[in-house]
Amino acid sequence: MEISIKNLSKSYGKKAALQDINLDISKGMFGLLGPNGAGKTTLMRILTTLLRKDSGQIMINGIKLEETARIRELIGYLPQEFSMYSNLSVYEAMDYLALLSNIGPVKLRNQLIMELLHKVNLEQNLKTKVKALSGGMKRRLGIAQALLNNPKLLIVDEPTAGLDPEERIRFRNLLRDFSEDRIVILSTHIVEDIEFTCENIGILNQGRLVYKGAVKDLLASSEGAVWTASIDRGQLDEVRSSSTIISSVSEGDKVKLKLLAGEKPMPEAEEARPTLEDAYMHIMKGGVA
Amino acid sequence: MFSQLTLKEVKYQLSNVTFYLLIAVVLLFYVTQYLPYVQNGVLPEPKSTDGYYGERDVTDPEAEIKVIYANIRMYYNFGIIYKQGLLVNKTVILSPEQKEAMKSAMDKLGEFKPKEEGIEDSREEMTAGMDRAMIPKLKLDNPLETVEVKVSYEEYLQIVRDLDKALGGSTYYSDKYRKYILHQPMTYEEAVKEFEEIVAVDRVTNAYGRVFADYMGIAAGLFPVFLSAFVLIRDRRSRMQELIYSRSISSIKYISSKYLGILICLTALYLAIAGHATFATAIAARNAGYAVDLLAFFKYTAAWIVPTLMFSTSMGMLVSLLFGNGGIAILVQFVLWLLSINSLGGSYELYRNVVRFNTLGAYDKYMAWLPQIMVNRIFYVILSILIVMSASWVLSLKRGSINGSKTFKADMVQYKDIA
Repeated sequence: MEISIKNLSKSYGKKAALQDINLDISKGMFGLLGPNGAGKTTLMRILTTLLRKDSGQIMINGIKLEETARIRELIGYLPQEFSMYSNLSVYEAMDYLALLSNIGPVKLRNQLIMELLHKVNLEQNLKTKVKALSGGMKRRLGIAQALLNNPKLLIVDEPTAGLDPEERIRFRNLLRDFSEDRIVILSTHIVEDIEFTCENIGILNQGRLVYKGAVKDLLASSEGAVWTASIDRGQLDEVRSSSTIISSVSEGDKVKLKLLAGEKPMPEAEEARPTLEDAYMHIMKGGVA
Repeated sequence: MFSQLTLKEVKYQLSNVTFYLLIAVVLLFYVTQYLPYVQNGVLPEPKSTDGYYGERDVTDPEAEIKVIYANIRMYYNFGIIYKQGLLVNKTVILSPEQKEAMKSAMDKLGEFKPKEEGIEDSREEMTAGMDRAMIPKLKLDNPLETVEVKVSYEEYLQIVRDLDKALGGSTYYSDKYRKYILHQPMTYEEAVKEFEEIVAVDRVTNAYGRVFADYMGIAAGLFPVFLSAFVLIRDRRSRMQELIYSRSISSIKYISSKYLGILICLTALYLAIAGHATFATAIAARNAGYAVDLLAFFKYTAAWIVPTLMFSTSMGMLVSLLFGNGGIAILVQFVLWLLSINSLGGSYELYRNVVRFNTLGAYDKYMAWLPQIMVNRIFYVILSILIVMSASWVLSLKRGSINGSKTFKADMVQYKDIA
């Protein structure tokens, strides 16, 4: 199972949403990171056949994206905004979506639905109306419906947005469990989601793919670029104008900073081991991976 | 799986408030338009002493002139005329000049010569301000017996055309609309012949079945759009488009299941009403000692009404899908409906998706018009299937451009929303 994207471009009018994207994705979890408006959802929608590309070539498991009927059989999709007909119960929603995935007969469908709802811990909520589910439960239902057709490619768009920390961790674990034997593309602007789940990532910024590769390589590329320093409050404006501050914590009269700089920014600065968030910021600020 | 999807749509419609509103409206049509035909029994046998036996179309040129003369005279006395409007007739109060034009036309056409003394006065007195439909029941003068014609048919045509112009056009004296008022009283013999035809050939219920299909078809030509125009909009409103469009179901299967689901609900409703109509009519007919055809109402429902349901359902789906707006679909269907219903019978052009036959009996007319009716119905069945296929094609395009728009402005809005 592999996805091959070559020279992909997509524009909305004169605004380029994706520019000349080249990317290969193989089995496992793949994180797609980028700020809001970077083009992540556009890429997700193109891969799910919901949007047509302007140019380029995409092959999923050796099948051209233009063969939409075959592609749709391969994919499971959890959109950013997961919503259902308000009058349906959890079971009815799953049953309806299973029918739309051409899954039958009734007995098989029922068995499959029960298995998936068990996996996402919703088997106690069969008759609960979808509109009555909490945000976390809705997301779990969302992942269950995306797995109905046992997809080779599972695409989840901003799955943890709006979830509390506990639900977020639970959801990430769930995704990791499902990533065996298939590709899971996790699109998010929350770095933490990727850090604990994905081996490989792509970073989009303003429609361009600014990084593709392993998380560890991204981290390695940022070594020597992340610094910590404790400075007087009065120096803060001066430092802010000369360096990119990633975080700042007050410590009495002092401020402890984490900042990006190509070389030691001040005598008292110490090199820090970069986190994925640091590495992401480094890339976004023009650092070279 | 297709059947299960269809059943899901049926189930949805059975929980849809709009469907129950539609049932209420259709039942209202049935109760107010058809049931009065059978409430006091069916088909009384004409008696030679009845005096009035209903009306039939005018076929004789001289009779036509007499009927038109009588009509002009009646409305001259009322001081008003009716004009054909798109939805309803318009009432126009005659100006002195228009009254003069009416009088001049009357004087040229003929002369009112009642056989009995005093009928003229009573006519004016009794009919002033009354509904025209009431007039025949008052046993007023029969124009065939009370009018003396003074012109040739060609001269008559020129006179009525000039009169239409003088009255501002669109009157029932124009070539286009004159046929709607060309009725003359039936004779006793004609009434007996029609009665015998209804009993023997139509077996009572067939004649009533056509009237039933006429009235119920009017509702079928419009109201289904209130369901079909929103069946696909529902996906967008529920923000389910991405979930549905990315699934492996084909567009034709998806659209067809929705279409069939609605059609099953509507057809079941109409067949249920046809069942009641059969019951109500057959009981009354059997009480009067007539043999009946128990399938008559179902036949006319299936052959006349279902194609109308098919069309109004499919059209609503296609237009709403094209414009992404249920309101436009309703508007389009409303215009098509208006064009279809403005004839009471005999006009079955292919742009009319409602079959009108607003006459009880008239078997001869029915047989004469049957080929046109059949062509019209077959056309609408085929057209509906083509529309459903077109809707599927439009959906398959939309599945590749979610929230898509060709306009730059809309694209930019979309970009802000989703990028």
